[in-house]
Amino acid sequence: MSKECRQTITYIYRYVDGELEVETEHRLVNHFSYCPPCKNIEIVERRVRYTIRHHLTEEVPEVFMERLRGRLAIERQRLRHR
Amino acid sequence: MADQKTFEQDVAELIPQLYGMALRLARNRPDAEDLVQEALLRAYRGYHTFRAGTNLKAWLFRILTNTFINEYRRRSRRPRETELDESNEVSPYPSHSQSRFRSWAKAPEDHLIEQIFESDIVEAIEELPVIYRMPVLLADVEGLSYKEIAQALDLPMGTVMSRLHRGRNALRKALWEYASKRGLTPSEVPCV
Repeated sequence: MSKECRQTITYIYRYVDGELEVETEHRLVNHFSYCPPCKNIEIVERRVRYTIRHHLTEEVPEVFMERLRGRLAIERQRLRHR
Repeated sequence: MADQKTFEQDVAELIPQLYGMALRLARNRPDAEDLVQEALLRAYRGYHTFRAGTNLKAWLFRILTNTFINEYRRRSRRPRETELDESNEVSPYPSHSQSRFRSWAKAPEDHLIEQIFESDIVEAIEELPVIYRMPVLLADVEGLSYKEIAQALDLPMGTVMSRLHRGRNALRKALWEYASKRGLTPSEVPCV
């Protein structure tokens, strides 16, 4: 593994986050174009995030939403009569 | 200045994100629902202090995480505040010779990594100490930018980045272990 590969792995999260400076980002894009093992790591990192997001995205129960709306309505009344 | 009259409408689309975050922080539904409700009541009372045009999402997450830390610290389910040790500076993507990344990358969309069970991911996330769990959730699940995370957690950018780095390393290593237990790691083959 070259020094360039090690740097690429160090920056992999920030790259996938889209939080790298343009110059560094270009360097990584270029590196991926000729280094399949690093490209695989990028793909796996994206898949990991997809999996995490997919499993942890929650639907809010309607029962809770009703309770919340009710509680906010009470608060609105309370603030108005202060 | 934000108008209290439009509060419910303004925050409506952000409630699922707050709810998801609360669930992973409180680790059970009743406490998570109390947490979301308490945070939204605080936000409602203080909505006149929110400057319209600034980041509402970061503002609400900040109230949620503050509420969590203040209220729940006193309870029996005290958040774990341990630090992740030095070993988590090491990337979970250590070397090219690890064949699983090659086979995971090449696998069909619905295979391998996606087969890691929901319960494994929940467990791995909830095992993270709170100071790492918060930025990791905000980034990996809620998709906030570093700047938004810094605002939401009231931390300097550098701290956000280093906690995110350690937290993600620890989380991914835990996921590799679960995957391996479930037989999702193919046998080693030399890499190209």
